[in-house]
Amino acid sequence: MRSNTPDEETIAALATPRGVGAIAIVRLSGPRALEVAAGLVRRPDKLRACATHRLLPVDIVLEDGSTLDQALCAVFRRPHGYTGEDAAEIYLHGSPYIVDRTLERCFALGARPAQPGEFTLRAYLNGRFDLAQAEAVADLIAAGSETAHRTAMAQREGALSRRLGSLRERLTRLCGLLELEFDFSDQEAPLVEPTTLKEELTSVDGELQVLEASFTRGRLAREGAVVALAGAPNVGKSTLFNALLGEDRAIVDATPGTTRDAVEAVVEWDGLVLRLVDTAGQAGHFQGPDRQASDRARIAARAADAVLWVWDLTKGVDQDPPPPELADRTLLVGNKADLAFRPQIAAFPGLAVSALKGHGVEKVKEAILRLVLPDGGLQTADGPLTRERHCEAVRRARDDLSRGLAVIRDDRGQELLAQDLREAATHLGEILGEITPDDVLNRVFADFCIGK
Amino acid sequence: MRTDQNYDVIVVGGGHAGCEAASAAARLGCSVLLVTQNPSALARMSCNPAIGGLAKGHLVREMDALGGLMGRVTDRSAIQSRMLNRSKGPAVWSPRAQCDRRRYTEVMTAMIAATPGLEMAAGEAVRLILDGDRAAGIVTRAGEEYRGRRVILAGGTFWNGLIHIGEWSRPAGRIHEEPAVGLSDHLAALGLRRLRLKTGTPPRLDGRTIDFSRTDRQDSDPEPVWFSHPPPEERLPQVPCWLTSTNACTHEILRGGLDRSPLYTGRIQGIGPRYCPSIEDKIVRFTDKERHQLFLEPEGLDTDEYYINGFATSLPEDVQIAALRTVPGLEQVVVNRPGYAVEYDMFPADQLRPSLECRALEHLYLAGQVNGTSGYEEAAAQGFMAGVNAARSLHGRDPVVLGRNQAYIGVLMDDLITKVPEEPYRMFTSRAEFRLLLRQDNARQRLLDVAREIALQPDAEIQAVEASLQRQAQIRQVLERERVRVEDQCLPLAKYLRRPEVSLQGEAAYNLVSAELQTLVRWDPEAAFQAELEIKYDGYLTRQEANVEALRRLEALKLPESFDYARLKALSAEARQVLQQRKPATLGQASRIPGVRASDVTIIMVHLRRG
Repeated sequence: MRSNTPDEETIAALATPRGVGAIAIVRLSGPRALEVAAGLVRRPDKLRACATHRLLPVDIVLEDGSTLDQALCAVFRRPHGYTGEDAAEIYLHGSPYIVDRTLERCFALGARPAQPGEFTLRAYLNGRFDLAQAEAVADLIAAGSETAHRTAMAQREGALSRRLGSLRERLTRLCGLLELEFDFSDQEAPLVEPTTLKEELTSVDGELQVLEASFTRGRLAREGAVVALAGAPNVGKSTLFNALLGEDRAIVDATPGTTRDAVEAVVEWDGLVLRLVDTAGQAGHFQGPDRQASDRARIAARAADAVLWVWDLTKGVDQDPPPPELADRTLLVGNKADLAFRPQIAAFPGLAVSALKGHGVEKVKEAILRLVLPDGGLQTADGPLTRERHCEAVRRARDDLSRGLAVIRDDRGQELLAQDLREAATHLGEILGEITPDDVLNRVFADFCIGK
Repeated sequence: MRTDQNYDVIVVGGGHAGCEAASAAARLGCSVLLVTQNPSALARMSCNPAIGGLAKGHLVREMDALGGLMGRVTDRSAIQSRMLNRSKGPAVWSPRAQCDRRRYTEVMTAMIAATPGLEMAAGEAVRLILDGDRAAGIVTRAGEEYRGRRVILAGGTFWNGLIHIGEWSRPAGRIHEEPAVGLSDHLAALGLRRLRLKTGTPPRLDGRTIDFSRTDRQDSDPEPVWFSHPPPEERLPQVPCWLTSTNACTHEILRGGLDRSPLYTGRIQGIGPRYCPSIEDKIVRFTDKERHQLFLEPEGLDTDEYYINGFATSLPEDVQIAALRTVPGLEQVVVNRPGYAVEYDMFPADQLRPSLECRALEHLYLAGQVNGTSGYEEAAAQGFMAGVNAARSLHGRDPVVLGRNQAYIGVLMDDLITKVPEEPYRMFTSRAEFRLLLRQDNARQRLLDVAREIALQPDAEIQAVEASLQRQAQIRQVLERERVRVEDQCLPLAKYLRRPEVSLQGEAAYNLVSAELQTLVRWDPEAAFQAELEIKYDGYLTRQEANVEALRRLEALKLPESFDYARLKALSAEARQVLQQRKPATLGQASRIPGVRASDVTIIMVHLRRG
């Protein structure tokens, strides 16, 4: 993605969405950023003399000296700005024409177009923040809900980094003591007692386990949860779907198999984003297009974080059970409670609702939230893991620790334990981006939009 | 006064570094002149008459595997040898030998004298002969000029050496030996950065006045522990060491002398080693410790003198004696020579290339304590590498630079050129991150390729290592295949061997295995041991090798000396400064320099990838 040296080149890009708007911001960063900005304006000397973090009214002029726009320019001098380099932001009137002409001028003056995420990459390379914090910047921009925003903000402010840093520090310290003991084994008392060692490792592993579990929360907060409505045809899945949405999105009809392609809608409940998916009815005897729709519904249910398996209460308890492999995330819902007999409702093991009348729909919402949300809800100020990359590294660190605990148990020797601890610490460091291979950087910054 | 003598290599200093350097260069075909103040004092053991010990034993084994002298000299003068750290895993075992001090010098002197192409001259080098910014020889205090195409300086603690005992101090390199003055100032005047370090040594005691019955005896291992291969046929008579300790009384007396201690009155400016503190340092820093262990170590077979390990001091002599006499066994002790501290000049080795050649003055090599290390083994290893690399440079070949993943010598050299010395540098097991791979037992095998490249080892030795590697592979196969019956269970032998208490070296396991395997183990116990360790350490070795691979990728990214870090604005200011100053040879080295952050490494990596 990056083909030139970060140190010499000055980059420019539009930092606001393309299109007509009140304001558009063009951003510049790099050693020549202020020079390029100065080249755009009528009074370059004023811009050159401008202190960092100051806003300057400027006339943007074209080559012929005519005024393109009356704008404001914010000046950032290294190492104080976002990227840690000299940088400028120009607040233009939000016309695509003005923006294009301004960028053209920037490129003519020696800047080059920025790659997606390059401003943040530079900030990371300049040590403005670690890799997890850089990722949070992308999340902050993409945040579509209060929870997603809160999570991204906590990570940006270093909640996760601090947590990982302190665990890493504990491991490094233990490892250091063990290694010291190789060289000072003639000391009468060991530097770390085996019991202390075991307790400390168990405690760190416990915290890592909590971190690993927090991925469910972090991922949910960042990406939201997928909830699929599934079950036999004509049990009222689409009616329930509409009731949950509070609007008539899916087509409802008494004819079985009305829903063929899955219908999706996004809702936000209690600050959590959920994608509700209404699927086609499933039945073993289907053939042709019904068969295909049924198969797709099965796949959609498998990919969901929660499945509402819907029964028709009027048909008794002898109905298709939810697929056993989804048991841990399935909520059994009995629909058409308004038509069912009281004993039928009493014998039903799940939640009885009437989607049509809106009875019990709130209970279903609560049950869904209980099902997808781990204990403690979506509390994310502590800095949960938000990416598979984080989770993988924590899992590896835990593998290292469990090997280490086995070494202690079997008394296999401190030299092995020291290596396990060192590797665990390294794995945690990877999340923060300590000595990061190029490819990891590319993957992380590929998520960004241009201008960030 | 000009002499018409021209040498390929001139070595200044006849200590552990100088002897290895001179011998290696001469055996590689160079004409060598070894200039030393006192040719009858080669390879003196200025402090403890012991070689090896934790991590240091690895250095000696490695030098031996590459053709150095130290292991051979040690084995021919050892009067007590033991394998240390046996309570821990084999990766951190290390051999140590107590030597006969006089014999050590004799054996070394004989080896040096028998080396063709190696001459000696008595004298003190006071300055270099320069040819532009290249070293081209030396001038002695007497005014003799010796020209050499390469110059190796190994001055030990002699450069502006200053000895302290209590409030008394005088210029000296070792006690009763003149310091070397002039050369250090000359180098400083040429622009090299210089620091002052301090080290110390304990008193020497008259063994006839020690009551050993009040101390604990420590004997040699029953089986000889050798450093060299092939080992000598005979082991010298072995003598014990003795353990005793200080007590509250001792500490009281030492404390009473602190107001006359050069360490605490500010007379000593140099930085001393934290890991090897003087006894007065120990009682000040560890006030709650009621006793400190002391070892009484014999200085030789033909002498009654004892070295008291753990009691390095520069307190006034009367305080030393009074304090010693409170120690059990030393109530009547006569002190032959008081302990003292010595301050000396060193030149931070970040001014050197990994070959130990000076960056600013080509053809000049620095080795040993002048580079800020402490210890005979550390000095010898550098001397050896400097000698080899000086010869290779004359022969137009690339220097041999050992990696951290190859040898403790590699770790030592890498640390020296990347880290700012904060105290005299001593080798530690903890410094070697790949310690499971870099064991003392496999030095010959893991360094086989380097030994071939250096070409100091005789063909017979190279072939012996090759054969041993083959046998190791063969034994490994049998180990993987065989099953044993243990506690009414039939187990794969490999699984059984993973138990920490089990070893093929032990009778229990040996008796369980097939006759074929028994024969193999008897035939080559060393190969069997290594094959067994591969199994014991199974996944750990594999993972460590993966880490080596990661390091190798960083090391493969070469940083040219012309690389202009000032241009890389994205680097932190501190990193820019240290990198510009140190000029690391690879990105791996750069990553280990204090002050260089992970993000700095990433920036350089990104930069290099883009070319």
